[in-house]
Amino acid sequence: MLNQYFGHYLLNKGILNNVQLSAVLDAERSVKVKLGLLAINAGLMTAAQVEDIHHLQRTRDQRFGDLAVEMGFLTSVQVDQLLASQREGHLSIMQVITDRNYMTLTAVENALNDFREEYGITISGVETENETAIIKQVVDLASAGDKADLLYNYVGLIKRNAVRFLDDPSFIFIKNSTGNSAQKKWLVSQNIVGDITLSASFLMEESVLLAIATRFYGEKLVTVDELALDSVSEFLNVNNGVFCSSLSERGLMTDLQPPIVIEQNGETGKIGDYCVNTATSFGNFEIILSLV
Amino acid sequence: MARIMIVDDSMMMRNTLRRILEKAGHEVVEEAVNGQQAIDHYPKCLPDLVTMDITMPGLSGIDALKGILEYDPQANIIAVSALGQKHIVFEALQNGAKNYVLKPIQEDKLVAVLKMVLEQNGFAESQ
Repeated sequence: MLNQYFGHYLLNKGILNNVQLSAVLDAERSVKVKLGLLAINAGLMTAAQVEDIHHLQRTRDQRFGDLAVEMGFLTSVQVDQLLASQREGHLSIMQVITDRNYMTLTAVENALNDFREEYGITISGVETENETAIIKQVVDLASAGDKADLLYNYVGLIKRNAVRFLDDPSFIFIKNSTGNSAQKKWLVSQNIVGDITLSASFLMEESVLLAIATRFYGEKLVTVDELALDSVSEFLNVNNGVFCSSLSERGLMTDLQPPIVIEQNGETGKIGDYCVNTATSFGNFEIILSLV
Repeated sequence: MARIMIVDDSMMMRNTLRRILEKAGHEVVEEAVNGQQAIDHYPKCLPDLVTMDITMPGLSGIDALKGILEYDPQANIIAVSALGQKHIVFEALQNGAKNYVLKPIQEDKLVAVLKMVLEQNGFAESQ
């Protein structure tokens, strides 16, 4: 998996300059991703193995896939699967970078691994399935139909980011809300708009808001003021940004609107379509999602 | 040391950026909380570099970037955005942003990007 953020990663690492990146972005729309790059991205072949095949192709008039099967690097089924994914076009930026000799295949492979590790935006298919199975034990999002898997991914992402940004490994999902419904709460909300439209919100009591704000900002905050509200909004914004990035890898283009904060006094009616209750070391809050 | 203007509607982000930039030895000469303020303040403080949030209510970071570059085509502007705002980040780069940093801001990365942009655009350390 890869999207064009990889290009910006290379820019920020000083591997590509902004003139090269602009040229790559202009060219990538029309490029056809080659099988070798697809195989590297899928983790089925190393850059060195792909280079071996390229070397062989200079002396033997055979297709890359046929040689990769002959050399035992790929099965014919894997070749078919990779060729099918060719149309998805997510790797086109890498193809342009190597076609233009801005980077070698090995350098692209290394940078790709660094990029994945640094941003931690992907987990393996098996991990995703395990995570979704755990979430399904307490939350039923099946009524979202073909969008249910996106919502499960979103909820799983919040858990991972609670560990990553809030330093709360004890974060879990629970079946029922344990909050005091009469107490004043804060709704921090942001819309993701584009190929899908999702409203994502956190509903929490003041103490939880201050705890999230303190952990995300990195300094003790004791009053619900502009700084505290901005800090929780930024936490939601960062979550949603990572989610938008994962959507783009599925070919779904989305943008973020600025977050908003609403104070809720007393009992609240139904706010969104789906409510996921969480328990953390600093209190509980609800993740509220609505698809449009 | 560079003179820097921070543009962000979030107080948390303005504080965070200021803290990192001042720790790195730079001077924050101005803060703007929206795109229009950024355009208004730029000619008054003429910073060496601007950090520009992309997603802001009202006049967006992209529009503010265009406005500043119209006044000063040589302006060094770094776009600041959450991961995932692909279209507008490309738009920022295509409209003249010199580079791009992702939220949550990582101190070493911001400082490195800033250094790179300043060096690539002829800003000497001694200035």
